[in-house]
Amino acid sequence: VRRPRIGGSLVAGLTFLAIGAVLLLHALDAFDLPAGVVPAALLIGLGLALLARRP
Amino acid sequence: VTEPQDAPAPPPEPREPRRSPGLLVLGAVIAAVGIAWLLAAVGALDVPLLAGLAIGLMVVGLALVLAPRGAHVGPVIVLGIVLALLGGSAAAIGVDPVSGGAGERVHRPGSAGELDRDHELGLGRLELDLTRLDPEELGGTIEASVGIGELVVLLPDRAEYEVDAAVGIGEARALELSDAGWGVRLRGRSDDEPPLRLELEVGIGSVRVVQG
Repeated sequence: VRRPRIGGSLVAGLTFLAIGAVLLLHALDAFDLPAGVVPAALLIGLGLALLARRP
Repeated sequence: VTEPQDAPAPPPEPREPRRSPGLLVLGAVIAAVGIAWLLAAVGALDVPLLAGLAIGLMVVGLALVLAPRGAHVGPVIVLGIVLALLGGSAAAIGVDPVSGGAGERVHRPGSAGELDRDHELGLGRLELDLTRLDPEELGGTIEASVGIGELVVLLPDRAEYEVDAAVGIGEARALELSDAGWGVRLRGRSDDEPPLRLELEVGIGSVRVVQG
């Protein structure tokens, strides 16, 4: 049985959307953003995007 | 009687070359950044750098989510990575290097009445020379920030003060204290209750408080 795959570009897009939203809220002084959160989230998202790539 | 031969089939109409959605998004984001920069340069728009990067990143993310299956999205993903890293760096250093202008700026008040208490420079060197002021007149809070560059505060010899200096990447020196590296935070005071407070911030570069 083949696993359904959702696509790497979709996961990468959702990752960028989430990071962009967090950065925007930080720019609006909604909360503090510790250094290192963005690169870590980027690595996690891009890693998941590679895993989700269609064959 | 010979039957007419079948007319040769007309050549297929040339297909209009399809534009890559990746390049379309790349072009749209680059053009949007240029327009926003132009509007900011003429003073018609006041968007912090970080907010602009965040909005650009969300546009890229949305384009990837909506991209058709099999679309060539490589350039868009690269653009998203660059925007995310720039945004993360801008958030980490905490100072906007775009707003505030660029160059070398010196503020040298001759009296307490001429003293400006809030200074901002995007890129370059900012010097606050307060040595012409009577130390007895120096009080309250003075805030100064530089995005990328150097921030120097010169104080009269007998001035009593406290300092709270933050540097994203670089070094800070004040009150015979110094620190360097990433996320530098330097706090100190010359007296129990000094009348003057300096709140200094540099994104990338150095901050120095010099007396005498």
